[in-house]
Amino acid sequence: MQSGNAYIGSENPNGTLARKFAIVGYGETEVSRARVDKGEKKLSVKEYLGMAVSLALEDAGIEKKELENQGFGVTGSAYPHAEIYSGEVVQDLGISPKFLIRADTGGNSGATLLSQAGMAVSSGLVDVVLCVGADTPMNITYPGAVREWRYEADFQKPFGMMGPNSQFAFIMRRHMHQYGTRLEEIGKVSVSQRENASRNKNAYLKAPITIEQYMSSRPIADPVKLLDACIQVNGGLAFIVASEEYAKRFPKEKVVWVRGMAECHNYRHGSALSPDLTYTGITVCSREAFRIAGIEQKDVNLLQIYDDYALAVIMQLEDLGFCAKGEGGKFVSEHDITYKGDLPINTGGGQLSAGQPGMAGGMVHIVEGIRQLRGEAKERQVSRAEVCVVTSLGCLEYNNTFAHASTIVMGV
Amino acid sequence: MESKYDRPLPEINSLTAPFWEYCKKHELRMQFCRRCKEWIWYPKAICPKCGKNDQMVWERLSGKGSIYSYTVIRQVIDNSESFSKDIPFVIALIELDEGPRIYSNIVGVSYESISIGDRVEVVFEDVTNEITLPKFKKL
Repeated sequence: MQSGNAYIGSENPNGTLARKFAIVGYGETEVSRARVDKGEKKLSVKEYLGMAVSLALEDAGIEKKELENQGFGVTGSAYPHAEIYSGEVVQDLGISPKFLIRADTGGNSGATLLSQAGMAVSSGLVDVVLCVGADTPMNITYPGAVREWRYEADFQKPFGMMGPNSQFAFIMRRHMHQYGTRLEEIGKVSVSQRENASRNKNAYLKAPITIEQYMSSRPIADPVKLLDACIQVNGGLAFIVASEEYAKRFPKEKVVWVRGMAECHNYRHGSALSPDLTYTGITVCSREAFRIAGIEQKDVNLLQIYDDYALAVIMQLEDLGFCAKGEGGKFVSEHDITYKGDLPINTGGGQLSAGQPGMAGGMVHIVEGIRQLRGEAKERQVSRAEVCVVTSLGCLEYNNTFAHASTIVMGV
Repeated sequence: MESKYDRPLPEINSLTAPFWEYCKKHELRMQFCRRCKEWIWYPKAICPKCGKNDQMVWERLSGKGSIYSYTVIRQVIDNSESFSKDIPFVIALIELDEGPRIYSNIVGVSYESISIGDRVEVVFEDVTNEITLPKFKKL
């Protein structure tokens, strides 16, 4: 694979971001469901932010003072905070950046931070950007804490819509209807990811499951069942983005390169009024990210695919071009997608098993990709990990799929 | 009309008020851009196609359509406890014959008799003095 000329995607020939950038450190806290009765910790979002930052600094082997007058980015947090949020976080952490970003793209937030951090270091504005995400959805104690979209409050909830599980159910039903996608195929994603999670000591759910357990799991919003959905946890993650020049001071084996990256927002497949609910924006941004990185599907060793729901993995395998639209279920049934398989996917268990730390959920995939490429995934290490594709999605739309989509091609 | 309606209600503002006022009159209307010949749903400040608002009007729809997708709600979440007595109930995404799709309930039948493609027609439920919800029944 080429080492140069990787950058954030744009078809614009005048784009000036033709410089590669790196990730030189990461941190991932323990996760918890805040079940104090079971001996689990109930920590605040500030503690998770602090721990994730400490872990990332330690991993990168740099002092906090090196981040002064550099870049800093933070995801949102579902637990109520002021809309003016990043200003509180930098006070909490004692960081004075000259470039400050806060992502509001839901599950895509980690990718948004990576993209904007990449632009900042590529442009020469800063050398390094510390990106952190933490959330404590399990600490929400009163209904008003849950924020909602206006279209959800005005035109979905009066009819009984019950959040993401019910919003995604329409997509899952449609995929099964249009293509004959079977529950057994969808369930294989959940079962395989749990097998991966059984080798991840930081996964919240580690006990292996069978396809029978998936099939008989509790119905929530048909056809979505308990084992179709991710499990929310409290937790925090961080990664440190560096310019090509700044990355040279780090040991080669600790540096992961972003070779191509692209985003797509409010993608609608077909007509704007009546879009096809089986496509995501990955359809567009993956083509661009692959082109920039100079790779094809056959070059990909492993994938970290955004998995708020098991079917979302199948949809994105189609959108990424690993199979034709509608054949994702069959594709999954014909491949071993565990860490030891021919196409490993969500090797740490993903959000389905490791857990979704709220607005930081998409960072689970980014951090697991870094870990695999650095060869640090221990008992779940993929044997050949040189090119890893990471996707992110966010914001379940009204009469569509996801408002946010990102594809990241990472390599060593 | 229930004496004490205890479920989530929409917020009426200048953008959405016409829709709810027409619902009170038992008319299903949505915004329509005469320039683009495009229906617009949910209510928007400008036409998503041309980016202007000078040709936007509230046009009446037939109220007939087909089920594009649906879910059966099996459990409530914390902020919608009031729906628990209805479970299981159906929310459908209905593709109206004119093109727009709207989320609503399918009333009057068991969830077991519902399929994608079923023909439906709007019925209006006056739930409070201010709000009438457009729901759908099978044709």
